[in-house]
Amino acid sequence: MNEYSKWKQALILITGFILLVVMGISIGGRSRISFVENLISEVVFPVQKSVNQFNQGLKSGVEPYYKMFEAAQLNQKYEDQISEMRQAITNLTLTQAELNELRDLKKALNYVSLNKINQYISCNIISKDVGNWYKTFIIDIGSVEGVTKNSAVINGDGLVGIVYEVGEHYAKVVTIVDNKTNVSFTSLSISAPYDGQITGNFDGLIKGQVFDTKAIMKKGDKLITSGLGIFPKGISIGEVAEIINNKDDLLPEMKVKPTVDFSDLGKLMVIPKTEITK
Amino acid sequence: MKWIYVVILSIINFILQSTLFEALRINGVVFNTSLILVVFMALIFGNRNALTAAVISGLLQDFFYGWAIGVNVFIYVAIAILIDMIDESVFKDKSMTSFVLLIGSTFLYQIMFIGFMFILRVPIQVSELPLRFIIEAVMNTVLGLLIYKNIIRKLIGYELR
Repeated sequence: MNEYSKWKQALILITGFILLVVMGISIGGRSRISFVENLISEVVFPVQKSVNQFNQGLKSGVEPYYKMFEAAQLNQKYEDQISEMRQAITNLTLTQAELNELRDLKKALNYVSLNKINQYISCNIISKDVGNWYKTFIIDIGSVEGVTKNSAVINGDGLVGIVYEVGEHYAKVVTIVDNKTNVSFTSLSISAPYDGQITGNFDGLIKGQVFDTKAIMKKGDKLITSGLGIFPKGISIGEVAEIINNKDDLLPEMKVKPTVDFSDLGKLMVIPKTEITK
Repeated sequence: MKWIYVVILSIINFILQSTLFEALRINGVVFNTSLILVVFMALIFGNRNALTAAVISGLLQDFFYGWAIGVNVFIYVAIAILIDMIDESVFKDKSMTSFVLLIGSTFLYQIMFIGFMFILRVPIQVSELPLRFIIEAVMNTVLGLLIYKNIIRKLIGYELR
């Protein structure tokens, strides 16, 4: 303890103060990354990508044997789903005629869709968050490939997250299960589509709140992005897993199970922010 | 230990932690091997090596996964300094020393991290805090003790009791 002379203590205090200032400046995500970070990423990320690919290869090699046991159970489940889908096709056919009428009307009124998305940039994950508090990962495309801060990240199943920071050839993505992400949603219902907002949680479920005090949500209701805020409209988010009955809350709350399996993300697509706002 | 070895070790640790170890999450919790590295360095290889490992590991985490640059650097450096302060008053060859230091540093890391997130107004989920604290402390301690025992045995030449 005595070794820590006054100048050492002063040095520690000054360094601590400088770090606090740097934290304050860098909080909130940056649209441009420093030269040093880009330089380090050029060295570290190729190695990380190779190790990650090896890891994924190993996983995909072992997983089929493990999943074989679940196959019979899944088969039954899919047969049930096929029956439900046949019923849904019948219902959809009935509404198709109505939809065609609306399309004709849209054409007649010369309506231009605000959320027309023309460009997707496909990418892979380089590495995932090393901490236990937030759910972020790094993708292998950056500003050079056209990624911008706040771009939406999706995969074939639905909404994955949002670009938080952008480097030249990499970008940091925050997933929707991270508790820092807020997404505006609308329930997928023709009769009563309710709007609300979801926030990530620890346990892989997302916490949602509906803005309508009289809204009646039920388990299994599908949720999609509402188009308000950062994300384009119509991307699948998840389905209601549980309704939270809390008398103290005015607005109805629920737990949402995301459609995306975050343990196996695979190939991803980025919708650049400029494309959304066109 | 030469500083360049510490730098290389920190980078290798970062790469493994974000790729291979990431797949070994238990209940969503992953080993904090950077913290284990900093504790080892402080305990076995001295203050300078510990500070090097703390700065490199912290910066890499803050650059690529953090919400603000400096949070992890600050915490790792603080832990390295604290261990260095008590370095002369502990028995390094005792298993209990590394056990207490690993558990203590894991809890200290968590508390400081939550403190910073609170100051920086970054939302943090508090409902599962105790469970996550315990899981991470157990994981870090078990892995840390295994590695520590082997490092001591191989590098210094005597066994832990």
